[in-house]
Amino acid sequence: MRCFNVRLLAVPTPARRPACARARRVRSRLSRLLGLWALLALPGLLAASAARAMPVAFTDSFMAMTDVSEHASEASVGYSFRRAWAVQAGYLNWTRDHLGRHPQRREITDLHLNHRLVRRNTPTSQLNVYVQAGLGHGRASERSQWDTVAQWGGQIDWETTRLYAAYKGHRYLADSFNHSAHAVLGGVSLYEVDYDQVQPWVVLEAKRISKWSERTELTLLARFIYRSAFVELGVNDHGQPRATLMYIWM
Amino acid sequence: MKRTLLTLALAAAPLLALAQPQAPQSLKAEVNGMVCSFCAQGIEKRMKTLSATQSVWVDLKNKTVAVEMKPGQRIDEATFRHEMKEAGYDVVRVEQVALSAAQIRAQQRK
Repeated sequence: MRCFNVRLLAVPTPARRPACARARRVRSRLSRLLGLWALLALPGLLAASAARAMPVAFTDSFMAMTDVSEHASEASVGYSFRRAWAVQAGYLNWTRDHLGRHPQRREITDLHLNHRLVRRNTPTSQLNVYVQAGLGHGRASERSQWDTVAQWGGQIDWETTRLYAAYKGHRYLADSFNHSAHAVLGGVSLYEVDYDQVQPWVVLEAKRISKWSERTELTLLARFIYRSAFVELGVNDHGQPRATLMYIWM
Repeated sequence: MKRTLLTLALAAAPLLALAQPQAPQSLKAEVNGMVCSFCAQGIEKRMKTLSATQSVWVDLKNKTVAVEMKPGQRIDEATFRHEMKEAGYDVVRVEQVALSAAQIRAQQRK
């Protein structure tokens, strides 16, 4: 049926069939319920693109992540309920000044499932491949209503005690918007450390969001890791600051 | 008289043995994939959920994990390997040594 098509409908409201309008109202209510549940699961923090940085921790652990910059904020809380699996509730907010007009905005809350497909451990390195999929509700500032949002994505990362490389890709699909976010990261640790020492890293991220970013954003980050805590402080190529925090506990 | 002394000595022997401090026992393992403390802290946390764990030492540089067991208690190898797997790591080899986690740490740092 046409009313279940997730693409933006071009048919004016009076011409829509009553059954389709009812179905839309039901979907909208379901979206709000899903979003409300996801919101209740959150610690009330802001959102994180770094939330995608470690989608699955160790079995029976919880993880909280938050990321703040001038035009984006994210937050999430997750639980790894078994080896290589985690469930995560997230909130995402993007804003931009589009063509000098009224600022545009995207807001998404969702619940998603993360799975670590691959982990390859060698004496000197670790390779991971993750996939993720979820549902939630989202809103584009150009429209006042909330829509169901489907999101899916993946991540591959490789790390040694001194080098780090990663690719992250996500798709966000709703009636009112359709974006793909891609990020490539590379980093180097200044020196090796023991388990009980803070490890400093320098990381460079290149990120672009389709139908949203006017250009690829470059961000230089200082990363500090100490046991359960992960902190990143950085600035992008427009001089805008960004901060990320992740914490894992059991 | 001699018989009495011998009987007393035999009776006291087990008590003397119990009074001797037991040497610490640890499982020392070579582990693959430990590249940062943020990832490897799951090892410490998983091992500490075992009731027989006294203390844990994770050595990133030497790719070693040492789990000291409480006196008189034991962690079998299968359980150890399972917990390492749950933490996301692969055990290359594991051995039981008569050292504490702190002694192993001091040895590794020499």
